[in-house]
Parts: sequence; C-alpha cells; structure tokens
Amino acid sequence: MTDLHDLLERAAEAEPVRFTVDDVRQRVQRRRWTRRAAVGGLSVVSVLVGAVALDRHDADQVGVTADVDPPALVRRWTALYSNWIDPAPAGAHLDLRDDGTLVGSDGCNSFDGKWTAHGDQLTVDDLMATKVACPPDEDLHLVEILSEDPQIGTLGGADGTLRLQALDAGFVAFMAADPGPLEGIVETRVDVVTGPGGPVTSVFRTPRTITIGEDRQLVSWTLTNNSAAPATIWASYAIEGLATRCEFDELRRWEVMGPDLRASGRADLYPQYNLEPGDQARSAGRHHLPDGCQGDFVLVLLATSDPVDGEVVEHRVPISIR
Amino acid sequence: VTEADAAEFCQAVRTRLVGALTLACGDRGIAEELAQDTLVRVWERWPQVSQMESPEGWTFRTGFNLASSWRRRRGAERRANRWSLARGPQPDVGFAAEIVAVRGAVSRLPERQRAVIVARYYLGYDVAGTAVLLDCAPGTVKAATHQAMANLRLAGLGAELNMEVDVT
Repeated sequence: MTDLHDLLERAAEAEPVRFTVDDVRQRVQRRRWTRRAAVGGLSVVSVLVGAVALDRHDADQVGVTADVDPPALVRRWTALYSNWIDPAPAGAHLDLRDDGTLVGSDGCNSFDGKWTAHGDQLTVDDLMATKVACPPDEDLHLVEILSEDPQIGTLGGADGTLRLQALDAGFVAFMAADPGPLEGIVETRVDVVTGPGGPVTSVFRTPRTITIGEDRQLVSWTLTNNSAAPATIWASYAIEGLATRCEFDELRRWEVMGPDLRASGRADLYPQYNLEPGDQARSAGRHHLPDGCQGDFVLVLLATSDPVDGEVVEHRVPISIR
Repeated sequence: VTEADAAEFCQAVRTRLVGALTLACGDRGIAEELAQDTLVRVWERWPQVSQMESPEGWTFRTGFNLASSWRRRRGAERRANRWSLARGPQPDVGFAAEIVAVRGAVSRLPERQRAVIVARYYLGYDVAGTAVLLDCAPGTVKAATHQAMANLRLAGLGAELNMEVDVT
C-alpha cells in the first residue's frame, strides 16, 4: 500500500456517514410496499387518482359543511380552481361586502350584484357582468355559477376555504384572501385518514410570513398513527402561485406527480412514512425564494392508501411573501 | 440467512461503500444516495448475495454500476438535494484543499480508470481481485492503473502523491 491509499482514505472518509442501516431497512420496506401496491388489484394509482378526481371534480362534495355563518363570508375570496380550470385565472376573486353588495372578477369579466346567505344557500340578485369573449382557459364561469344561486360550503374545516357549488354550472373553490395577523406560525391539525381504532393525524406548521431571500423553514409536520393498523402516508407541499422559475418542486400537484411517482417508481423522491400503530414521524422543509417570487398559499398534500381506501387530503394556508 | 445477517453486513460495509462512491462521483451527498440504493439491492437479494464467493465484491461492483448509471441520469442528485434539505445543511467539516482536489481529480477520471483507482488504492484489492470486481482482464487493470496515475499527475496531484506506485 502506498501514500495514495492514505490520500484516498482521507478524501473518502472526511465526513461521517449520515445514514444508518435502519434507513436502508426503511427503503427496503418502502419498495416492498410499493411493489405490493403496484401488483394489487386496486393499485395506489387508481386509489390516488380516484381520490383526487372525487375531491376536485365530483359534484357531490365530500367534506363540505353547510350553514356557513354569513359574517364569516364577508371578505375578499381569491379563486383557487374550478372543476374545469385549475388553477383559476390570476386575479379571479369575489368580494362579499357587509352592505350586501358583491363585486368580483372571474379573471376575464368583472361583475357586481347583491347577496344574502341562508344556511348553505347563497342568493345573488341584480347580477351585472361585462361580456367579454374569454379564452376558454381564462374563463372561470363565475358569473354563471353566481346566477344559479349556488350552494356554499367550507372545505377541510375552518381553514378559510369556500366553495360555491351550482347544480348545473359546476363549482369554484376560493381561499380567503385575508391571511389574518402576519406574525407567528399557523398550526393546523388534519386527520389524514381514519383507520380501525383512530385516525392518522397530521399537525403541520407554516409561517404567516416569509421574506424573499431568506432561507427559512417553510413547513414542518408531525404525523401520528393513532389507529391500530399500519399506515403509509405520502406528504408533499408547495407554494401556490409561484412563477415557474421560482418553483422549488416542479411536480406541484398530486394529479401530476401521482402517476409519475407510481409509474416510474419515483415514490421515494417524496417523503413517505410507514407508520406502525403508535408511530410518530416528523419532518420539515427549508426553502429560499429568490427576488421577484410571489405566492399566495402554502399547499400541503397528504395521501394514503392505508389503512382504509386511499384518500388525498389537501390543505391551504395563506402566506405573505415580502 | 436472516435479515439480521443482511443488516450486519450492511453495517460492516457501509462506510467503505460510501467512501468508494464518494471518490467515484466526487460528491458526498450523491455517494450516500447511491450507497443506500446499493445496500437496498444487497438486502433484497441477500439470500443469493450471501452465498456468493465475495458478497462485498458484489456490493462494490453494484455500487460502481449505479455510480456509472448516475452519471448518465442525475436523478439521484435531486434526491440527494431533498435529503439534504430534510436534514438541514451539511456540517462544515472544514474541508482541506487536499480533499477537494483528490475527490475532484478522481471523479474526473474516465470510468474504468476511476473504478480501478478506487478498487486498488482505496478498497485495497490487488490486480487479480480488481479484475474480478470489475469483470475485466488483469492486463486491463494494469493498463487502466497506469493511465489513471498519469491523469492524476496531469490533474496536479503529482506533488501530493507518492508516485512510486506498483502498476504491475
């Protein structure tokens, strides 16, 4: 052996190895699980895609709660998506004012009118709108939905998400544009899926404000399996509304990355947790936004196919980027 | 043959495997990703691998193959980035210029030369063992060693190296 051996050894082993055999064991288990899912009669693909389709495009919405308190509706609502446009055109919004008037834009045409709410029913009168011929991918058809006196509901609990559902015209989902106080951390608890004996719960935390140029924690989460069965959870997140050059993850939506993940075996590109009953996992992501990057919401996505049929939970938290 | 045996083997070979792949690709984060991919394959095939004449040789060879594949597709790099993000910034170990230079010089060698240098002078295989490991003739190993040493000199490592290296 020569000096070359010593030189190579110093270069090769300058840092300690950061993974353990347990990390390897977990990768093996993930691959086994993925293969089982892939060869199963009802694959993860169809479970996840089906769940997304239900959440986004089925008229009979799961999780919509009625009887929205009218005062809670008085604010500016920013359109997120509809059952035919996702995401909604930039600038699409609805202002429900406390004097009973409303104004807004569907991204192409603007409108105004009057509104009242009773239970889960929004009633719109004297609706007037411009009639510009809109490109198909910029027309949210919000005027048509409002003219049908849509049903109203919230999604995912008191997270500030509003959905307007018209029987014939489809639906539009909104997020409250008022992010509330700009200090501190928003902590949100979501039951990702309910198994025998209890739910798998995610508690995630996002800052209300992040500063451009600052490298900081964007989201952290804790997953706890309170059920009596093993659970596999995929978790991902994004800032919605970022320009393409600003995106830190080009696969921003489960609709897009789901098939890619499963078809190409890239599921391990994304944080995936295999939780035995009683297990808890923690993780976090740090990001740095360059100049000129603006977004509106932190979108957290949690998906599972265990311990019950697959389900996708998505949750948006307003964020201010300064 | 049990999973405990596989775990024990992975524990034993882990550091050298990461070291070899660090030299092979010049990037510690990538090397750790590739090493884990390698060990997953070892684990999954452990009943067969454990019966081989040299499970360690099979492991290093698999690692080298993955490193070669990585150079063609840089998917693991993205995974490594995510891994690093999830685990926070890498510790500043105050890299010596020597370490940076050696990693860079070795990783820039042509594939065969790089594998030969790592196998012989880091992992400690002799010419015959390196030939088995890399599935080539002993003469190829000797020639690649000679060429690699010349390239390392050209890369400016001549002063640091004791060039009285047996290339026969």
